[in-house]
Amino acid sequence: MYLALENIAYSYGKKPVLTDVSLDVAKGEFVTLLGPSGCGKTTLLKIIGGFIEQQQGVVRLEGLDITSLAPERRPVATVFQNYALFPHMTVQENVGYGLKFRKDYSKTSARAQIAAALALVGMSDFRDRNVVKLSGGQQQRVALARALILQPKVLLLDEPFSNLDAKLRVAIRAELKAIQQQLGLTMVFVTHDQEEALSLSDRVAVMNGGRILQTAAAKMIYQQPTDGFVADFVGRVNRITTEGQTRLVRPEDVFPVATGGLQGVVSAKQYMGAYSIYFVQTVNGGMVQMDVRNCDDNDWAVGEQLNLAIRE
Amino acid sequence: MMKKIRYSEIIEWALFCASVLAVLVFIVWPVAAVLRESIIVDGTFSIQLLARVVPANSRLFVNSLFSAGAATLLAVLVALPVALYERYSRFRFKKLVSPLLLITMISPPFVSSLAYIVLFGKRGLVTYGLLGLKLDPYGWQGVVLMQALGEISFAALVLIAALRVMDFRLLQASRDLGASVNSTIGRVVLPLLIPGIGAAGFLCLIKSLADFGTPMVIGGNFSTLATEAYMAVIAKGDLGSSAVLSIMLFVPAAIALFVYRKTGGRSTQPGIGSAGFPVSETPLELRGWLGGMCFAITILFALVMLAQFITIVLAALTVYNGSGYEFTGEYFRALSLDRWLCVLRSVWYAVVAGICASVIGVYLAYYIERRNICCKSALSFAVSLPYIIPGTLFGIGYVLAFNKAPLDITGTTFIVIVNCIFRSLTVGEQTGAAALINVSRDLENAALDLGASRLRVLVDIVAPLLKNAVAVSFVNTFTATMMSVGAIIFIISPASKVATVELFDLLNSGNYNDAAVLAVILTLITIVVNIAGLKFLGSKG
Repeated sequence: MYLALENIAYSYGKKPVLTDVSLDVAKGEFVTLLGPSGCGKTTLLKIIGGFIEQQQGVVRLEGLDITSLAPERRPVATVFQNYALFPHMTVQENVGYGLKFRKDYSKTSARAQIAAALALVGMSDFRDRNVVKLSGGQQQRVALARALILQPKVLLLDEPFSNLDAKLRVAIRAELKAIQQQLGLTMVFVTHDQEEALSLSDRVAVMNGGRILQTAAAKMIYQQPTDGFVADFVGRVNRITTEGQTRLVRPEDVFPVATGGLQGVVSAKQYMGAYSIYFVQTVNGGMVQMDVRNCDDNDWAVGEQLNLAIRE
Repeated sequence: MMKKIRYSEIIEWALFCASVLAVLVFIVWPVAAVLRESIIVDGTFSIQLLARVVPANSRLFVNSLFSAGAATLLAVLVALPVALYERYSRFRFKKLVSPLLLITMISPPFVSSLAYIVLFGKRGLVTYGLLGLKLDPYGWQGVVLMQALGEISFAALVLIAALRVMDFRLLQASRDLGASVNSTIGRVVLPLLIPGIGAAGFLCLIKSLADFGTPMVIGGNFSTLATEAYMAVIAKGDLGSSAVLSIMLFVPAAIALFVYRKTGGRSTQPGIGSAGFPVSETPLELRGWLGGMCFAITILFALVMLAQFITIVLAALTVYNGSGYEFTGEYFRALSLDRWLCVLRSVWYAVVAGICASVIGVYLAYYIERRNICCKSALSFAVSLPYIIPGTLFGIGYVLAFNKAPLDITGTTFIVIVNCIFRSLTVGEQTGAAALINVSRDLENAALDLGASRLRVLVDIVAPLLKNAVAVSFVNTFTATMMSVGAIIFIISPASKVATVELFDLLNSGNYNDAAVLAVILTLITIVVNIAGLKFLGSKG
């Protein structure tokens, strides 16, 4: 494996933060660590970056044990949550900072590399700007350029979009994915936003309580969660019990039928724009959420009787 | 894989070890020397000295405790309404309060005492000149009043800083829930201000306890532990007694510190390094009797300070010609070369001490706050010692620690400068620690991540971001050193005499006009440096 985390354990004082975490990342793969706050995902990222040393387990990169390698000597680069741009340096000074510690450093090649990195993130016009005066999205791009310029073997991103507004987040997400594919970057991405995780990643590792619960492709995580927590965390889910068996069913897999199925009464509905969520009180006592695309012919009022079926 | 050791790591550790060593030698050792002197007689452990000195001075202990306690109480009682007025008044006048406090804080020691004698002394302008009275102004009342006057500005600034960082949303919430301004102040502001009041009180108490000058100048028969410790060293050369006396001084201070820490004091040193927070919108406006009272006390304080200032200037510029006072330049002209040299020396020591204390202090703050070093809390405690022990103890410690091999530097300029540096180290450390709150750890991580060594992180990232903290600390330590007399008076030789010590000698020998001239010069120089410092910081945003 390209990047391998083997049985990592870390505790802060007596409190375990990570317990027996293992994860493999292939070259060029985009892997996301997804979980609620306090699940250990940022700690795990810091262990890969070398800012924290784990008490147990091994971090390997291209087969080599890099566990005791100081962060400045690890061929990985991080985009920090608040970007951590040096406020006393300009955009190009920030981006070029890491180059100075290369053995083959030369001013001319540095200048060219800085220009290329800034062009890649669309920030060429801002090279002499003060980083403090940039907008959040621009700072984000500079932080990305600063990390990319070192051609890291693994790029680590710690909730990089959490400070951006919703629209910008979607735009930058697409740009990041495009750059990753263009350069064939290996990335480990930390987020608590399941939509972000599902839309970007080749694979998602869902974490909770210091453990990885499931690692799989986004589609698998959503459609075949191995765990109730995973199912809940990556989307809304119904627990429907029929014939003594409880199944996890996504709201979009529930649909109304004329007869048969599970009987219930609409107790509330939420208009969501493209679709509506119906909360249906079923005869066996459970509340079922059903997502229905908003077309004129399927609009039910609160109190109406419905028969529900489950899409297989 | 073997860990390669790089030059940058060696340099970094050498620097750090050197500064820790300096803290041990110039802070811990002198303090230890005082303890050692008081319990070791002729090389063996003995409580003989303690048993002799402590009971004999119990009266002075009570005097010290009483006068310092009363001065502290008075200072805080005046400072509190002044601070409330500065923060919450509706009137424009409040904008003048902070500058007034800053300027009055920059005043040489004993200026209040000097003005007091000039106005109310046996030949006082008011008592004798105007009213024809011959009153004896000497006694404990004057000591308490003068010590309090000297500390009000400082205490008020500490309280203002504490009010400034108070979350104004809490006050808005209180108003929103129906509390009037006065009850918001009583039920929300004051309880939240208790740590600030504790800090201000604690620092006033320490300074008043350690102050031997005021009782000597205007105490008359009223004597304190600090004066006795001073006399023991200067007049009798009895270092053993002075060591015990200065420890006796520290006992109430230590108890006060303990109580302060137990009752919600923060982990940082009381009262320093909390300036520089953004000023938020004013959530309260003083009204009613409380507003009136705060205004009256503030105005009264301002008038007293103005009177003090005018008195000093008049004393420096006027002469009594039998029937009245007329202006003269004779006192300025009479300034001897020696006295000018004292002033220059003061400036020189203050510059060197200001730079060194700020750089080393901020540097140590970085290590204490950010790096995993062993004995972190011990180092932090050692750095805070000079601020919490009375200046008398620190000075006597230097006499004891450095009068024999291996470090026989008594009487040199070096010992005076070193004393000034390490006496101010706490201020540098605290300013640095406060500035570090705004420097995200991720900035350091980012630089490391990009390949910078720890030393490069220090040079490229941390140092530029803490430059302002160093500048702030420089202005403060420069001022403190210019005006300090407590610790250095014990270790000064004629060749290293500074202006404050000369001022003290002039006062004690009754040369009030010459003393006033010196006070005016000291004040002017220090104000110029402070304004220049503020301009420098202001120009950088």
